[in-house]
Amino acid sequence: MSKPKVKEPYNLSPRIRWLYDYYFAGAKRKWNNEFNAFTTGTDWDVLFDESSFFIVPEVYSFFNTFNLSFKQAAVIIDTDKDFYKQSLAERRAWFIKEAMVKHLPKEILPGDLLAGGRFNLQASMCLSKKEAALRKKEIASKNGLRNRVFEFHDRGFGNCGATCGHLIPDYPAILEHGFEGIYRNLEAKYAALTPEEKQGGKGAQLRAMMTAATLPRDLAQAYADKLAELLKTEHDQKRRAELETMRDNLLLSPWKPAQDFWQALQALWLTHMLVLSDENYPGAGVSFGRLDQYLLPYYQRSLAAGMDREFCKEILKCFWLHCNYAYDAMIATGDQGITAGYGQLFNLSGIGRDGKDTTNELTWVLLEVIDEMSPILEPKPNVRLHADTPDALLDKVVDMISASQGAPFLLNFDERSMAGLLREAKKAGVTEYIHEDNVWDYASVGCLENTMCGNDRSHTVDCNLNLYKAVELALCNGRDLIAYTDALWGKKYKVKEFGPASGDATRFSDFEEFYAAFITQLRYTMDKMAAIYNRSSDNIATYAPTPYLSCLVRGCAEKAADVTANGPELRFVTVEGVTYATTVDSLLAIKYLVFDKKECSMAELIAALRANWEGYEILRAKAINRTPKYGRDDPEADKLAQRVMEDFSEMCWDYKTNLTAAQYRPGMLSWNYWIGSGYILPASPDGRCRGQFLSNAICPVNGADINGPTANSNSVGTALGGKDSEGDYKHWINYLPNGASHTITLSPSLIRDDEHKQKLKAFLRGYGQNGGTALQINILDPEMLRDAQKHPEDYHNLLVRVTGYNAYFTSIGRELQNEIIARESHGNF
Amino acid sequence: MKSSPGKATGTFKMLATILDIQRMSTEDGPGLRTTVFFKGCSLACQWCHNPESIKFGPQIQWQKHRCIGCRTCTSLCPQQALEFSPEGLKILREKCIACKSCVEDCPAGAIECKGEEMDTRRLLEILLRDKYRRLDLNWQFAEAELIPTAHMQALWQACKEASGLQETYFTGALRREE
Repeated sequence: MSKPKVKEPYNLSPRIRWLYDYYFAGAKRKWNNEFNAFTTGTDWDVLFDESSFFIVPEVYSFFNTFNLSFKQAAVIIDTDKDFYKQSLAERRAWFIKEAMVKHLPKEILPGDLLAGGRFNLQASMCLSKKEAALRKKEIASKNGLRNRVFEFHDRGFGNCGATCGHLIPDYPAILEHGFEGIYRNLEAKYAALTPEEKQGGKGAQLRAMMTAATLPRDLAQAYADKLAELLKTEHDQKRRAELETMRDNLLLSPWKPAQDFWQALQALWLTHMLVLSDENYPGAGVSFGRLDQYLLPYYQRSLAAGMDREFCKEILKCFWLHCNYAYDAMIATGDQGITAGYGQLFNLSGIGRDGKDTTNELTWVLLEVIDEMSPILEPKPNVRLHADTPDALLDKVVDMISASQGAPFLLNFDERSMAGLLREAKKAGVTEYIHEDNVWDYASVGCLENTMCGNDRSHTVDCNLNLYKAVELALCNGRDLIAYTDALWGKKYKVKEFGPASGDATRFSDFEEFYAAFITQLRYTMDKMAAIYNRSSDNIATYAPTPYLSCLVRGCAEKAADVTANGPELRFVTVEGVTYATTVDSLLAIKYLVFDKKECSMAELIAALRANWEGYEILRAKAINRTPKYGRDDPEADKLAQRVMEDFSEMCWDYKTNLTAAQYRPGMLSWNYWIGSGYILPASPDGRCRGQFLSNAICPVNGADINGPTANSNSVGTALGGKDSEGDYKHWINYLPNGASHTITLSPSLIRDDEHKQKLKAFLRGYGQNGGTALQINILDPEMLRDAQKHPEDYHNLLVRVTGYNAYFTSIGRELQNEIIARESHGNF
Repeated sequence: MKSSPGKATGTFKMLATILDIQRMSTEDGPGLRTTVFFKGCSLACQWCHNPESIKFGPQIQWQKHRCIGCRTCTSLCPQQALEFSPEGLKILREKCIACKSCVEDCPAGAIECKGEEMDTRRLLEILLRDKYRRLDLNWQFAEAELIPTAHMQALWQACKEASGLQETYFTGALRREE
């Protein structure tokens, strides 16, 4: 049998083909965008801010290494003697600008149509000696954040920490007004301050932002100089003309408003890549928003002026490749550096102002670019679908899914998503900023997290709470079920603080008592999480301002406050509920086994879990096979699922951060946590053994959804609140404003011919009515995946959906590979 | 509008023996369909790969891959119709009365009863769960005499009456009851 075919890029011009192949040469490339480190040269200087990696448990053991090695490799940038007399924001704005404009080399790859190559930066946090000492105490002392976070993680609660990215900067404003417009606005705001305010924090913040606003202008000038230099030796007339236009583009925008498509893309790229530099953390969910909407006028202008449609695509393809260079950050570790941690998302299509569909000619151009470039990781397309999505668009979407193992994009479903955001507006009291007349203009960040555009920082992946931990604590009256060990040193934790006494579970007489105990413990886990998170949020607000990004988020200039502080008009912290289905199924199992059918006593069940089900095989078989499960469209089971969802989401609205006054909000996205935590959390009543994966985001437990994809989707829709005559948006209810990651794997036989593609289309139409907020489809043949495990060299560009994000199959760990193969539970459908 | 399907025809309590219901079935006609497999196919083809569909009444079936070998079934069977051998579970068909004790208590769900009695209301409930725009009723069955049973006619009628269905399609056929 011939090998199954992996999607290949096509219709690439020689220029793009070369740039594409060059990018994929990976670690073998001569040029790369590896982190460049810059220090103030003081012995207390910090470059690597570990606190932005508190949500990445796999790097916990590298914190010290990173801290030291970046510092060791850093180039010293001299600061003047008054440097530390300025505010931190001013120091940081100056330092980043200095590093970007004067120190980082400027290069243009052969044939490239956009400037802006190196942007991965590890720059000094610019702390004074005193600030550095205070920060160190807050993070690294015995009761510091680091130890609190490690304990939280190692005991199976999850992880949390304020990190960067995950927002949609106000890019359209830059295209429309240029940084000059931003600068003038800041100037006016500064002039309006009282003399006391000028000397205080507000004045300092605005001055820092003014410095930052001139960074793109000066960097564009530096690249224009580079182009002038290239022009001296370039003799090819065609290329000369391109270089000249590129130079002229840079001399104009992003300082001035963009005039045409090429300028708009150049301005957008430079503006965007500097956000990644400013945050010292490439790409993490810094998203573009509704690209096909705000780029449309520039596209139309260029077409009218005679630009070839294919050439527009050519510039876009250069843009695509630039986005992927974020992955160079740690390229020295080899192709493993190219994984999936970033997520520069953009949305296409969707509902518009008047409730009508917004698909336009640029939507189609972008879809072509996605298709011709796929498989490639960045930027990440997300197509917004709704009841009136044109058939032609849906046909194209289905065709592209069919040709690419399902990989080319995420699908967002407008009605359910908008319902969640409108609910958020009411719950958080921000109807001024989110309401019926603007909610259609939402977009997604990172993987699929719904936010508003240009004024919203929802910290979407900062709190990842294992809901299952509350079941464990409820079983044991607030205690851990097993002894946990420190992941770094292997020592047993001496637990100083347990959950509240919620009652001896072996004495509960009905399920309601157990459920009440579960809620008590859920409250405790959330208290614990918020206590840590609020500290880390204060820490970032105090020590890690990003004045450049602040220029791009509405509210920061008005309040003269940083985006890391209370600048943005909309400020949220999203609690991503992890292990949702494992939690629901465990509650269902307790109800069924202990109370309804009396198959065992609570004490026996607890003993079985402690023994990791060893010696309790029959009870475990019952837990797996006889108990009701979420994901089967079983009204009884889904009712409990909805109850857990409602209680969890309502609880989130009770919390706010300290300094930044950000409102907590609920969501469900599990990144890769459901895998790692599966090795930490003990056996669960649903029949899972320790070491088996937990459930992913809002998906049913693997293998539990025996009634097929439509039943699975109905359960997801029901869990989110279902529909009602009075929904949050029309009939739709949605408890999760952030949205929820839902991944379905389908057999390739489903899309084998046109007739069957129509079936997938019907499924998507139905999903919009009854399903969740976002869907990712894998169409994978398990044989292909097994072959890829054996012959990774033949499959270097096989993309698979993990959860809300893609990864190259051959670059992910064997456990995750096996998990994806195991997901083939829909082989029969 | 909420009408009460089946009320007019008084067919809610009519029972039928259902072999299987497959949701999101993609192979039995146009669209995504929920396929109801009735029991009682009389063709008895030599090559039949679903022989459990032939008999009208319920029958038990053992799924080897799920069995954990705990012998709960053999110990419970009131008819001594189950024997465990190295090859697996043997069901002595002449003794089995399909009382379902083994089915109900098998911890692994390895013994299934093929043929569940369902009334129209229950069937309709399941059929309507995947209703988005249109309901196609399609029973896939033996292509023999085209005489729908009373229950199927009733179900069709009930579906047509159910609210919100713009189009109802009835395709397929069933052989006469013996």
